[in-house]
Amino acid sequence: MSDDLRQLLDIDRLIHEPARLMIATILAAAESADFLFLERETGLTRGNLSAHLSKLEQAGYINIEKTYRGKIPLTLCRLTDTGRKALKDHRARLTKYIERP
Amino acid sequence: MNEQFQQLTRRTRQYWYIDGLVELSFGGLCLTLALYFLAQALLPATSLLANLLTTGFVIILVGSGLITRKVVNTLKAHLTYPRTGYVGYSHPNKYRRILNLLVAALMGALVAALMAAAPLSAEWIPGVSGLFFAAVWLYFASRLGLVRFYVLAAFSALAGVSISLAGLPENTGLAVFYALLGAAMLVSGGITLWKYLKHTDMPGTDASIEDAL
Repeated sequence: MSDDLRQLLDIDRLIHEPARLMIATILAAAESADFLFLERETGLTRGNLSAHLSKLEQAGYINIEKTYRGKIPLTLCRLTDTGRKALKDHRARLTKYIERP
Repeated sequence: MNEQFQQLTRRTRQYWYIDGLVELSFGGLCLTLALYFLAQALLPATSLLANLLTTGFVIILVGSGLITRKVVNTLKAHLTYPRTGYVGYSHPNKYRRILNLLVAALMGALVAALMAAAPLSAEWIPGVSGLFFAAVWLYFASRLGLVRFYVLAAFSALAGVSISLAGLPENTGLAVFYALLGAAMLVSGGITLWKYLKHTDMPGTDASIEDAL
């Protein structure tokens, strides 16, 4: 196995998971997004989304801020600089392998 | 996969315009400007009110802009965010703000040069305004991929140039132009809002899963 292909095994599996990749991509396009928006855009169930957000937060890829708008609870998610870099690196790595002749 | 990434990114960027509230509010702003230019056209140039309107133009413009922004944010907080969620967008960085100012200054200088070079070109102010708004709509349409913005761009250019070709006096021409542009934006925003409300429901407030985060 070549070194190039071996590097593929070192891919960041945390962000490689499709649901988390979707969440990170959405958050990269905005400053922040709330739970409801992420739920609708990803099509994940609330429990599933919650689990993925927790994993991303534990890895330091996103910040989760719990606040209120009026009396309604609001869960705001933001991609951190670490998360942004992880997403960028991951996309670059995938593109490199997918576009390889 | 790249296409899917781009689609997700684009959908997130489009979200600010999903409900048509931006067009409705700016349509209202355009109608305010139409009333302003209509008053200028109807009032004698030497009247106190006409002078007050002329000197207060910047205040009216900035004030209307601030009110529009406030109205959009308030309406979104009541209509959009409870239905389909909230997305916050980053403010333009310093470089971008300078670039915006430079483009605005360039446009102002071009109009001033046109006026100085040919005084009759005052009739062409609606045409130039129409082309300017068309360029703005085209920029947003190509960036966001929203078809209705292409329609607004075409309408804006067509309305502005037609009014100029009709040879209406400056203030009357501008009043008609802003009235048409405002009406077009209200129609576009109204249809978008109607479709949005038809396809979205106000969800319940069960936040137990969110609370568990």
